[in-house]
Amino acid sequence: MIEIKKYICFKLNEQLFGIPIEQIKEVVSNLEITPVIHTPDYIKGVINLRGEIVVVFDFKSLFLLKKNNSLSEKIIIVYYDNKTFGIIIDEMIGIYSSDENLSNTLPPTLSEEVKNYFSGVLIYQKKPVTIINIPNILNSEAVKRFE
Amino acid sequence: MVSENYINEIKDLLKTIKKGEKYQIPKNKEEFNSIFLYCIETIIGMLYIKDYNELGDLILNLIKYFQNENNYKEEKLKIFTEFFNDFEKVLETKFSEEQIRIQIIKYKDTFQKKEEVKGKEETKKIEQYEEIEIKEWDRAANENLLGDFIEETKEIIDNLEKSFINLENDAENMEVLNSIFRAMHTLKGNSAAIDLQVLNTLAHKSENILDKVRMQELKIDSNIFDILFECVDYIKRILNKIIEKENPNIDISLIVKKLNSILEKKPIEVEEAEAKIETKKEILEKKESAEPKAGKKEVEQLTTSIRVNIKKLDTIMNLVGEIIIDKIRFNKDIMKFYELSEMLKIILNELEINKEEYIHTINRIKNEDISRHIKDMNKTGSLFKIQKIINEQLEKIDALNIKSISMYNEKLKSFEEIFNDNLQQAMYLDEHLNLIIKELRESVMQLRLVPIAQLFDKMPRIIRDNAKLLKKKIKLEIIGSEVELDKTVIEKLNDPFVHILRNSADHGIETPEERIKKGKPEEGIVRIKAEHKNNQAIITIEDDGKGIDPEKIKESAIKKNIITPEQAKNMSDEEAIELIFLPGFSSAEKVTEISGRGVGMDVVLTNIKQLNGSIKVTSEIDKGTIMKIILPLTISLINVQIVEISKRLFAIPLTFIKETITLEKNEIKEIGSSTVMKLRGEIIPVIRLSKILEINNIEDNNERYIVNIIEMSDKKIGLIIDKIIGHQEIVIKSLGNILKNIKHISGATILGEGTVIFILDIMGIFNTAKSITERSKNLGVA
Repeated sequence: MIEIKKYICFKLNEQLFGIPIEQIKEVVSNLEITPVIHTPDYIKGVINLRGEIVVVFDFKSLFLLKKNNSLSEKIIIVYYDNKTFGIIIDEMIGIYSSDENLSNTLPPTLSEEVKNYFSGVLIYQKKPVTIINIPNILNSEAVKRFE
Repeated sequence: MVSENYINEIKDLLKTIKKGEKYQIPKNKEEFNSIFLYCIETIIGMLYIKDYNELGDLILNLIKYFQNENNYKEEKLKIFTEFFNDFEKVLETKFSEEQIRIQIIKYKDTFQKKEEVKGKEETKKIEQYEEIEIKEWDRAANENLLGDFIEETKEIIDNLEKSFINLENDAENMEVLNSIFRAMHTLKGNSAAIDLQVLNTLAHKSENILDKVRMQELKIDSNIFDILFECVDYIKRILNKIIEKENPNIDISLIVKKLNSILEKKPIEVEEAEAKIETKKEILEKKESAEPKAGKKEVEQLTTSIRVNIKKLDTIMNLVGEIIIDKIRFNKDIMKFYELSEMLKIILNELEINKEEYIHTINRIKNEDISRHIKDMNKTGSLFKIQKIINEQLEKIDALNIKSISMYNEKLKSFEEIFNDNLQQAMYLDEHLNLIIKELRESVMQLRLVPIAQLFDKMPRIIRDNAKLLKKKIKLEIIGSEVELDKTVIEKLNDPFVHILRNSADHGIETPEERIKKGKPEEGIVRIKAEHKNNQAIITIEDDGKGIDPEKIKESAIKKNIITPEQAKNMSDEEAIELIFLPGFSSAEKVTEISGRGVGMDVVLTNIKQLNGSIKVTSEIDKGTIMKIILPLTISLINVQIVEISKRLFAIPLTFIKETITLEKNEIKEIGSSTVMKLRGEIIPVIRLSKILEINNIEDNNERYIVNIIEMSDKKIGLIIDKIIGHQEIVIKSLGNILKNIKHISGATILGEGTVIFILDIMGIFNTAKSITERSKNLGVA
């Protein structure tokens, strides 16, 4: 049986990234982000998501990507393993369905240091989409150090 | 008063055992033991819950009456049927006292008599206790019952421990004995309901022992008490395994053996008794692991429930009712405003028509009348006449004017009247709603409050065990068990409390010999007390033991490299005593088995700090020690000062701010590289909060500074902030489970407009500030 998987696709800089759709709770925009003291750049701040305080990550910083001054206010809310967090993104692309296996060759923009944060790459309409490994990120030292 | 539901539930249960129209006794034991017994046990449990204890006992005896003989005779069936028919009458009358009394008088003796015969047969049955095979427990199948089960079992355990101590002091007290018996019985039923065999076995056996004591077949002695206490410890451990999502099937063979030995009335062999003393230490250790660990992750993840007094819920229901009424009134008000707006529309419309009419009239006068008269004038040539004509026309216009003005004046006046009435009504409703909302919020907060008895009731056991082991005589006095605190606060207080009490028993209270030598009564006193004062809870733990010797503390701290001998010299006694809160400090000369657990007072401080509370120790050598814990009533609601620091907002809990003052720039002086200020003659280090929080300092052009004075353990520090935005009562929100541990932040809240702001951890900031100023002081000296 061929397994079709769905991914939410979005842009960070001009690069495409994907997250399995079952790990996404919602997409929100125009929420005020309060910065958090004593935290590294990849923690953008916290938002008030209907009364719940949710941390928002800047994955560009976590993935050691170049920073451009994007004006996007869109935040993807991820829910996995009882944990809720947001990711600030540049542009929402849509949902991709795919039955392909993921390849292991990461785009050259992503350095060796951060490869653990990804499950692999998928080619969709001739463009590479890097699939983010949410469990690995949640288990990484970068996130665990605040627990 | 019992509810309709309660009665219906019992009726349903009766229906299940009722096979058709008539009551029938199950034909064989299997049938008896399965669904039949389950229903009856549930009924008994329900009766106990509502305190129909005698009725419950009665049915319990009825069951025993049947269980004890192998064949079921006609005569028994008759009693059985009759009993339940009568019981139905009790249900019909909704538990009228009269019916209950009739039941009890009628059947009490019937079952009691058989009871005596029964005794001998039970010994035979005991043999089969020996082989129990514990099935694997199916957690998933019972998952949705677990929340209630855990909560209830916790309560039962607390209750059991308290009652056991009471019984130990007063073995003749049937009241206490019966309540223990019922608690054990409920535990048995509850564990059967979730199919937890291992706990069921222990409860069942304890119940049997207690029953024998009740029937005066067995005389309770200290040996039996010890074994029962041990059994409760096992039950605690099983419960903890469940809370921590581990396999609850611990090895119970040893305790079962001990319980059986009591049931068989065999004295425990001497050998075993000695072994028992040796393992006592072990038991204490085990018990430590049996104490609930509030800080553990697993515990947090389990959805915990809370038991709420129905009165509190009623209050909330009333308030919600008020809101609904207000809402209806508001709707009416809105309807009136709607009418007013319609009215206004009509008036405006009329005005518009009137305006047109007015213009029309003026035009007519202008165009027709006047021009015609002017034509006439040309003929007659009389100026006087023209004047008259113009005056006439002007009067017409005036009349029109006055008429419409007075008409609208009237209409608008009545409009204003109705409008004002309505506005007043709306304003009143708004005020009323504000009040209700405030009350509602307070009531909901009240739901989280539980009596501190939940914590205090565990303490007699701890004192008893420790006193026994240390061969000391300690009396525990409890004052203010009824004081209510947030449930989370009480849970978090457990570990610190147990630790402080163990310390008191171990290091505080002296041995009876020592005490006699010092001229004190043989028996030491530990007193725990709770009280409310100014929206805070004050909990004191006091002992009349040997006290803390500051010199010894200093010595020990020097030995452990916590302080230098120079520092020790300059230290006051109070400061020396505070050293016990530093990590890695333990004042005991040798580590004893009770308090030497590798955790010290620093953990106590951390836990209390997490609750936004503080702890103060005062001690006098040979007089005793007093630990005073001050806590906010609820951890979810606090008063804060909202401040601006480098354009960002933060909240500072008011409890930490001693005072806020404004200083001129020149009042802050530099000494070496540190800055200080003078407050009523006292020199206090000051530091910018932005520096501690490491946020960009905005250019400092201020001529005046706002300084919050923070005082902790008699040390003061000034924190400079940019601006005070205001004071507010806020609800503390969790930061979620990713950002749990951020330096200098103790929580967050959401302001009215939806903005998230952080609550500063003043204790952490205080420590950082202290180390910064001390560092710069040292640099300054060097």
